[in-house]
Amino acid sequence: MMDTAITVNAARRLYWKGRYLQRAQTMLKELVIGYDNVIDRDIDYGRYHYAKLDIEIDYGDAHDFLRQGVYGNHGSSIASMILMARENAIETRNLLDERGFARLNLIHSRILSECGKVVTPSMLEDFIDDISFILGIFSSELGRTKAYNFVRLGQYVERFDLILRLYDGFDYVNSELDAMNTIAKRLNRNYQFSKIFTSDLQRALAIVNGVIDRVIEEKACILEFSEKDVQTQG
Amino acid sequence: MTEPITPELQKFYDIFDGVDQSKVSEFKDFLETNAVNFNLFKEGNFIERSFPFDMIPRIIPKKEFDHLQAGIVQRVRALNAFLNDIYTDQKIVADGIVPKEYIDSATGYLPSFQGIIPPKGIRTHISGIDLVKDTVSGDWVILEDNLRVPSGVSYPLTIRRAFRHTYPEFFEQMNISKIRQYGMQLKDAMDHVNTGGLNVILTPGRYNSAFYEHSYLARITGAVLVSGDDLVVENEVVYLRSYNGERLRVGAIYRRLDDDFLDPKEFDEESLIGVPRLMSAYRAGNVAIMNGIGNGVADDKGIYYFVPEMIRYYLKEEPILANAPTYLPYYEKDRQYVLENIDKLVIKDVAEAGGYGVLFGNRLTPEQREEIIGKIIENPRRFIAQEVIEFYDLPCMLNGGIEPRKADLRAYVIYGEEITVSMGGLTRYAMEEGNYLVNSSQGGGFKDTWVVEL
Repeated sequence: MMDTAITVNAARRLYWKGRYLQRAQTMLKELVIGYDNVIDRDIDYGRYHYAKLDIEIDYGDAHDFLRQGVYGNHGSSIASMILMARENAIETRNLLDERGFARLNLIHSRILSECGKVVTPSMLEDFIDDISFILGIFSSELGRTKAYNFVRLGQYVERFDLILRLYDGFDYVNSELDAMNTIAKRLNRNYQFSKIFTSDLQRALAIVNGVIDRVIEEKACILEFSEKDVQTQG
Repeated sequence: MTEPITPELQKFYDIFDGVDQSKVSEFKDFLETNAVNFNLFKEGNFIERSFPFDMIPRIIPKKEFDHLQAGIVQRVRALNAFLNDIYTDQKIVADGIVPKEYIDSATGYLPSFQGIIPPKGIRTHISGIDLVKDTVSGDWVILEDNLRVPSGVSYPLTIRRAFRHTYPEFFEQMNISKIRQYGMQLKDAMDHVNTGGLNVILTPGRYNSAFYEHSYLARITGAVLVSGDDLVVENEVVYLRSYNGERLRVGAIYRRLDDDFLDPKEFDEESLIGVPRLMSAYRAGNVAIMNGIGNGVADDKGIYYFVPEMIRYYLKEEPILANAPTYLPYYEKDRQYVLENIDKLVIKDVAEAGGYGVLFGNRLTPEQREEIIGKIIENPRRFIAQEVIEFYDLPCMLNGGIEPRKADLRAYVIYGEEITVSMGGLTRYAMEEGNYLVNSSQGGGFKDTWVVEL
């Protein structure tokens, strides 16, 4: 696939597609682990875990916990993340490998069609495999394109965001930050490398999440109104 | 009446008898999995809907298609000449071939673009010509010329690939013309008129019924898929807003939105999907816009009546393909005929499209009949009337068997360095038996179209 010019809108959608897919994959893994912890260790394990994401969930047992994770009425439910990933993928599907899009579409359909059924860990593992397949497809087919690098950038940011929120993983994030910086620099030669010199979670999150605004220079694209236009508008 | 079985269609059935027919369901799965959609808006709701597909293709013998191709190319040449004439000297009006009233009152006519010559003089870059095959004469008849934003080409292109993967037997054993060069032909046509810069496809966005197609065409041509807010105009030059702050010059825009929405400073000022000042760049000759601005004057249902005369006037040739017999209530003689024979005619509102505003005289209640007669008398220019063409049904796999359905053909034409007709096209069929409206927006389905040489 040839590399093509990327608009501001497409860049944001690719980035967010990467973020939603990464978040869905990570949260699916967290749910599978959480399922065992709810059964074996502490029925409230899921409540504490989601509280780190500022999300309140309520459930009665382990299966119910999975249901809340997949279909719950909150922004980190698997259903809403897949929906958002799909929306971003629809708008950028011309830049993506078709098989990756088709697989994402299948996950979306399955989540919708199985809404009334019991959510099991094996169903979640299927989704994890599917998302790995999608990300694998993108990595093999779009290795040299800007489009893929936006997806990767989104994945990195989301991964770091979740590691910081769920596990306070400052050291890990700092040690891996240059991989993200390299992609950001590849996308925009004006980008300056980010470092986290703080142990404050909110400031660290702001640094990680702010990377995209230094890659996408939206303001530079906005033209000022000429005098003639102002007159026309008036 | 179902079209007689040709040797080419018989060959299809013979092969079909020997293949694994359970794989037919794979097409539906493919279309759904890949969200090959023609979306609908119903009662204010956006409905994602995959385009119903029937696997029995319309098969046109190569010799028959050669004739169609010649007629279609001739028609598109004449229509392009007509547009160039209308937006410059209007000789065809001065010579009394087309009444001036028909030009001035055509909703698609934009007099403010008088005198603007587009790059290379091409205005009908991508045309969709709708035809049916008449059961009485056996001839193909032109129903409509679509010269603004004809959609649908992506569906046969997409399904052809799936068909080849699922049932290679047909492609190994039948000599089926290839259509996959469409993407390259479209790219060449964009390059041909490009004034220097990127090729882009301008989409109204994800909630447009044909968004799948916009995305597909961007993929196969390598053009950048853009929304209105991705483009800016500065000093009468169009630029794409690249994510890294650069502005990249745009040389050709294949727009998939109507004139009214293209530029809020020129047309509908409330349009949020257009590009402010785009028309200033077009007027200055700094960007090619495909299809041309103001093409609606040529595919107006009233102007359709005059196309055979255009062919004679501009090309000095006899039309190869005929129009459906059409009456213009604008002319006294035709109006009398229409009012006296309304029960056996189809009445079309020239301002409508997509199968809307079409009335079959034999299905009107007495009240509806009186109402439409009143409207025709009040505003004859607004309507045309046509004899009902009894066009062929095609066999469709429906309800567990093979059932006949009315079907038309949309042929796709690209006007670049030369005029090329895609060797296939979109066959659209009505979902209900006996229904003459095959439009996608009316819930119809589609078939692939195979041009076959035995």
